[in-house]
Amino acid sequence: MASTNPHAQMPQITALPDIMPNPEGGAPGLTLAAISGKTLINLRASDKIKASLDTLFGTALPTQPNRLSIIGASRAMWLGPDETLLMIDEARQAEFMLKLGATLKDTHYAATIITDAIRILRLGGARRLDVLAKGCGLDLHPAIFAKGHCAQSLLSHASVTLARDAEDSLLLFCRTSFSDYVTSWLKDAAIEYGYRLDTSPAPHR
Amino acid sequence: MLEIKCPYCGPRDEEEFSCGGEAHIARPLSENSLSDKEFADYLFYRDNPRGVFLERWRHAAGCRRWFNVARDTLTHHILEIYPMGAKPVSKAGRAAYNANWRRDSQAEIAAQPASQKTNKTSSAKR
Repeated sequence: MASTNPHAQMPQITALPDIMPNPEGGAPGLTLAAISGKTLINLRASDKIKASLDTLFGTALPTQPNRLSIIGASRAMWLGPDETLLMIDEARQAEFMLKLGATLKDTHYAATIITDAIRILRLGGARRLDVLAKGCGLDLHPAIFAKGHCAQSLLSHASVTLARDAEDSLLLFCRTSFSDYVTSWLKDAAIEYGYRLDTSPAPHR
Repeated sequence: MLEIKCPYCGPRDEEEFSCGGEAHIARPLSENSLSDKEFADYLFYRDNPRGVFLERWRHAAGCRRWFNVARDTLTHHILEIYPMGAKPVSKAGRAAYNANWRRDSQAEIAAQPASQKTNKTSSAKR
């Protein structure tokens, strides 16, 4: 008799292997690394109010649309005229939130920890932009989407935030509930270039 | 596909946006003074012109902000993009705003703040 265990896990649809060699030899065209050990904070505050957080964050939070602030391992992405996504090391979370509350006091703001709602991937490899171009309408050429730029868009119908915080790679944020889909889509799109998915929870730097 | 210029993010594909329908529909402040027929103008009736249409759009997959668009429904040409709460400034956009049947509706008159209406009434008395 077939097992009817209601707790049995649904089979993963991601049938593609985690490693697909580059058909032309050499390094895989796309590398995917799941990033853990980070805290994500969605900050709703006007430019004026969030400016008082510059010291706590370490550098000025972005006020220009679709720009990214980088300091050490921390990132701050512009999401809207009064909305910023902060990414800091998980180890700093408690202290950061405490100081954030003490700095902003009774001002009109909201800081929500959304770590569990968002998955972070680092996309590297020489063909990463060719892969993204298959499902994203944005012009991600380095001359347009340079280091220090970020953007929210759709990747094959899934909402994603892209942030170019390094010369040779970029960050992709997607909903946790979409992360299986996004990952398998990226794998599928990268078959012709070869890819390597690294799911080991190595904290990025 | 339309290319819509988000006031914050710049030109993006229509796919990233959601359309919120006709713009400049003000909620009556005193619905109790309106008849059901007059309130229906606010609640149910929407314009569907052949030509310039003023509509609301939201950059749903981007910065998630609302803005207004003056679009020609015949050619899909976007004449103007202007902020929420503002009125169109282009000639065609202004003409479309003023020509809308809604401007004369009781529902829209009832949407004006009391201070403005008082002034109107007092000036009419004089």
